[in-house]
Amino acid sequence: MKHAEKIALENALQTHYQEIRRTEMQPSDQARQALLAQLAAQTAEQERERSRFPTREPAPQGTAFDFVMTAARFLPWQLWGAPAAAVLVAALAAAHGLSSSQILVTLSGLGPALAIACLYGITRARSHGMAEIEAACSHGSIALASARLTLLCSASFAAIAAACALCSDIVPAFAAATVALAPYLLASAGGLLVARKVAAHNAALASLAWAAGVLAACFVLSAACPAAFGQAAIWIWAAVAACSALWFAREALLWVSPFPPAIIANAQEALWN
Amino acid sequence: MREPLRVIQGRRKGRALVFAGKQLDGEWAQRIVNEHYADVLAYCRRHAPCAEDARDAAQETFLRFIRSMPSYRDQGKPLALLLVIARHACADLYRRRGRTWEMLDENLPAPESENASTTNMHEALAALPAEQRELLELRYDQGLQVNEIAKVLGVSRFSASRKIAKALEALKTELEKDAERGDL
Repeated sequence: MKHAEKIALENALQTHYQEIRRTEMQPSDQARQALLAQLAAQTAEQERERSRFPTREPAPQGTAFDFVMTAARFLPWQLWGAPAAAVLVAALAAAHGLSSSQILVTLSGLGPALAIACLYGITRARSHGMAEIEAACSHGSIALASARLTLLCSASFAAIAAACALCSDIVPAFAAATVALAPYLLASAGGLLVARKVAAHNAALASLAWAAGVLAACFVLSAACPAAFGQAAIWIWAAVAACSALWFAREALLWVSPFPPAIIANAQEALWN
Repeated sequence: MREPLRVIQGRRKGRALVFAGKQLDGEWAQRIVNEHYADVLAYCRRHAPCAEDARDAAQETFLRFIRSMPSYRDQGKPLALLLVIARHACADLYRRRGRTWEMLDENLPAPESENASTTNMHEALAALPAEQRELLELRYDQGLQVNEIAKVLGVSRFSASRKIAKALEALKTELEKDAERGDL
């Protein structure tokens, strides 16, 4: 359909609906609207009174560790495969006698790959509209989000540590850790940021797209500028990792924050406009 | 001119519910009803089993909306959430009556205008499947954006956009068929 035709059809549709609206509202509807407005006002006052005395049951007794372990049981088992696969890849890379720069490229790719699995586990509740249900449960959605973040990030950090340890004979541990951590933290922080900013149903997809972008950028960097993975560039990686760590800490806190700052409301508002 | 209502926060802050910096109170609820009653009633008229049921569904929609506010966490225009609730309220009415979800053509208000193009549009819309009619109604009658329609229908934004384009194509085809019949 041509653009002009589409515009004409849209205008015709709007005129048609305006015509219908003009004819269908009756005086009895207006009287009903006034009554409903009064009833709504009463209901709102009742709801406000009720909200002062929440009826939600107290959370079951147990330590935070018990709660996190229980949350771990409800995570899909596939999410635990990513850290295991990352360690396996690092072990294979070390066993095949790759050069130090090749090992560093591999480690830089492992970070965003781990972030993809981690972000999917963290953001999928928002994407699938589960936050409302979780908010109504006795522990609340914030506790669940914190537990997921703790579990998946701990697993990722453990996998990165193991990968660095496996490659320590070829690459110094500090160099391996900075090159692996910088892309991981960059992918995770950015992923959480975009997941907060986009519409709820697109949260997981947007965060995965960001992490995949970081992964692609790592490989493009290795092809376009091999010197970036040399020993001379390690301090640059360390600086990026430090900045990314601060950004990730901020995003993680915002993700589990009970009162998200105005930036979220503004972003959502912009989306709805 | 008053700024349109927008739900900024639907959660507890202290002991009061806050919406666009205002407390959830009777005045706010009245404003919601006055701003959106015509839109919600128009939607219910086209999707409830009969005119009386449509009024009941519209009333039920506003009451459910206000009761859901303490646990509502999403943000956006209230109309989008109101139409989600209205959709469920109409489906509930059909379920209670043991009938399937199907819009009744005889309940569509026929335009009183003598304008032939409006009549053609009415017939062309009636020939479309219910899903496409609803999409066009949400977009061009209720004035929702594509992402809001996606939320109302529970589909992705991409899918909503594609379906709207398809519905417009189908409507154009129906209008052309009507024009050909008119020429004959």
